[in-house]
Amino acid sequence: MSNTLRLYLACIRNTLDAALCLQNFPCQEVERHNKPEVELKTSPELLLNPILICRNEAEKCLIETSINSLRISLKVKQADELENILTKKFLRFLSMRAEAFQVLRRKPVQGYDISFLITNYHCEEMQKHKLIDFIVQFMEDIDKEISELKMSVNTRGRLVATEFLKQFV
Amino acid sequence: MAGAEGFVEADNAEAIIIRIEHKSRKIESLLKQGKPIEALKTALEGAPPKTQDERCKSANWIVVHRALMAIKDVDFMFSSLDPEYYDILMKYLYRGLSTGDRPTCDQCLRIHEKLTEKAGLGCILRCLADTVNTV
Amino acid sequence: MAAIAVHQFAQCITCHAWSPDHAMVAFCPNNNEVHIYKLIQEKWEKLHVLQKHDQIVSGIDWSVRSNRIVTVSHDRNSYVWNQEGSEWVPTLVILRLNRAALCVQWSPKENKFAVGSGAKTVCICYYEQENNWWVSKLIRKRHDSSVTSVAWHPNNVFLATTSTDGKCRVFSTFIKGVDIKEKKEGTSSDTKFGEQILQLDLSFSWAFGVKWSPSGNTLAYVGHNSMIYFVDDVGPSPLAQNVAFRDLPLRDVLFVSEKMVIGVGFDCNPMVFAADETGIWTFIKFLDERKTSSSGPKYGSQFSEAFGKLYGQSKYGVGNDAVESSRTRGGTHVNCINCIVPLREAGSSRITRFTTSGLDGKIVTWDLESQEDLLNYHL
Repeated sequence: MSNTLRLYLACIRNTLDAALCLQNFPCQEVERHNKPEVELKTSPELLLNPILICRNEAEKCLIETSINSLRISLKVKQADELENILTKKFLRFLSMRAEAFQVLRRKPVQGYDISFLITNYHCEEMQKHKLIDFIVQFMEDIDKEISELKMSVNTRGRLVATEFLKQFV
Repeated sequence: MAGAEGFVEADNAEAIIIRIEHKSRKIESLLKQGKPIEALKTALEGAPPKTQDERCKSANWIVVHRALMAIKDVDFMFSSLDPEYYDILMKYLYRGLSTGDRPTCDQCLRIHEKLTEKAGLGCILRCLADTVNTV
Repeated sequence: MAAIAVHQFAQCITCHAWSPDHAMVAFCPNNNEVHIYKLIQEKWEKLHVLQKHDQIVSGIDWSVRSNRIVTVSHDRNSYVWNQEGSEWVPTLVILRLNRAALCVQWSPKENKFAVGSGAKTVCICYYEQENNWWVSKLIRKRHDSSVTSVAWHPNNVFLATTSTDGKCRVFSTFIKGVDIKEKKEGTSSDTKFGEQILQLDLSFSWAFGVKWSPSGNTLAYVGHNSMIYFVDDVGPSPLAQNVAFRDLPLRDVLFVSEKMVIGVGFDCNPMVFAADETGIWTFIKFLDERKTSSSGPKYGSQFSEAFGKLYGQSKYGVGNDAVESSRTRGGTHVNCINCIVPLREAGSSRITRFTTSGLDGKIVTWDLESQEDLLNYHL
């Protein structure tokens, strides 16, 4: 892993560790409701400063924290159109299966490729450090996955082209 | 009277800008003398400016950024930077990280790791939770 | 070792309280019930389940002299439970709240209790003999956000509150016919019900866990910005100190003496704060030994498994050595501690034992007697 990637992930890990101090908090606006405040945004005093961590122009991570929930949104590196398509398809595939991941948000926040929503209930059921490990692992793997997919698309393209051109030899 | 208050705020902003300009000149001369840590301390002093005026905040950020980028040896920096600067430095690091500019981000990431080691997660929380004195 | 007893009662505990003789414990297992356990022949046995609320129970307090339990819940209601024979009989208290009730505490004389709420208000409830009914009286002065904790001054009149608007306030709760006027001159005029005596604006972030020192001279509360605040001379010219610490924020505090405070919270490990001779408060140490071992894959692993399934292969199952994994927090507690309760011995103002509970479902008893380095502060 390159040094800047390591620092980027370490920064996100530390920020998440600090931000993931969530608690059960009932809604102030609607009685008998309990909703993630980071999604509602009805009480500004229940939100903390949103944090944007960039590695460069193309790769960034937005962490929005509230008293009972946290939202983390990622923008994944897309060097060319092929990577763009692959990222979109791949993350859409995951988002469609959001319930399998519990913390995955069905729709990414605008301007980002994928979003996670962590609530106080997740922190009650799961260990916090495992949650953070999952997010960081995910960020690390997504780059690898995209470049692998890209490679296999290219290989297949080459193969198809070779086969196709054989008939003219 | 809202009008009068707005006027005072603008007046205040002018004064702050002048002070920041003055600070900027001091930092340049410190950097020329090869004292980047002194320059950073000077930049962080009186920050964040006690105003909601975005111009003042940006002006001060430019000054801090200048000093921050001049830091070569991060370990050495922490050996002579007092803990009272940690919280404000953390705020500026997050501002730097939000720019998306590659050299700035690299530098801020480098310092962020060391600062978290030194100052703990409490320092990050004070930056996250302080919605009033933003930089 | 400071932790002398650990018992796993549930998956997750929101709050707990002890019976006057410390033989029974009442807690909420993160749902709408309150469970009462008793230690019978070295084993904890479930004696009662108090079922009346229909949402999560957010506060429990067990009065020492009258042996009554008060519970509040996000369902906006409060019940006072009286033991009649072997049964706990509930009495509904109409709080007249339109949002969740968040915290509750009996006053020192046990003739009133205070409830903080998500409706940004505080209710003071007292018993009306003639109607056989608990009456709720609202403090009109609005908080700007939810009231997260309440604490009674030993004089049975002053009430301190903290709120997610970051402020700590002190109110007078003098109720005619319930409280008797103090014969001190000068103080009688400003003790009208609901009057705000003090507003402390020290924190830029949510405030929690307010407590008074045993004498009522000092007030402590915490902010979500990893700070703890100490206020001396509560009145027209208070003296405030803030102590920033390098770890995760606290949720609740407890004065074990005039000069020593235990704070608990997201760091899963109780923190000791103490004042020196000059009255300057500092962080002293963590009470629990830190464990650095990585825990077994009890929870959380479902993610990597799910991941593996989607990819067809379990290539996400095994740890990648390039990834440093987050350190686990705490030792005795493994998740956020959100409640700390003293085990007060009869006739002694000094507290040497207390219990903590948290999201890991454990109730841990701590003993300060063995902590020789803390004895100086703890007299």
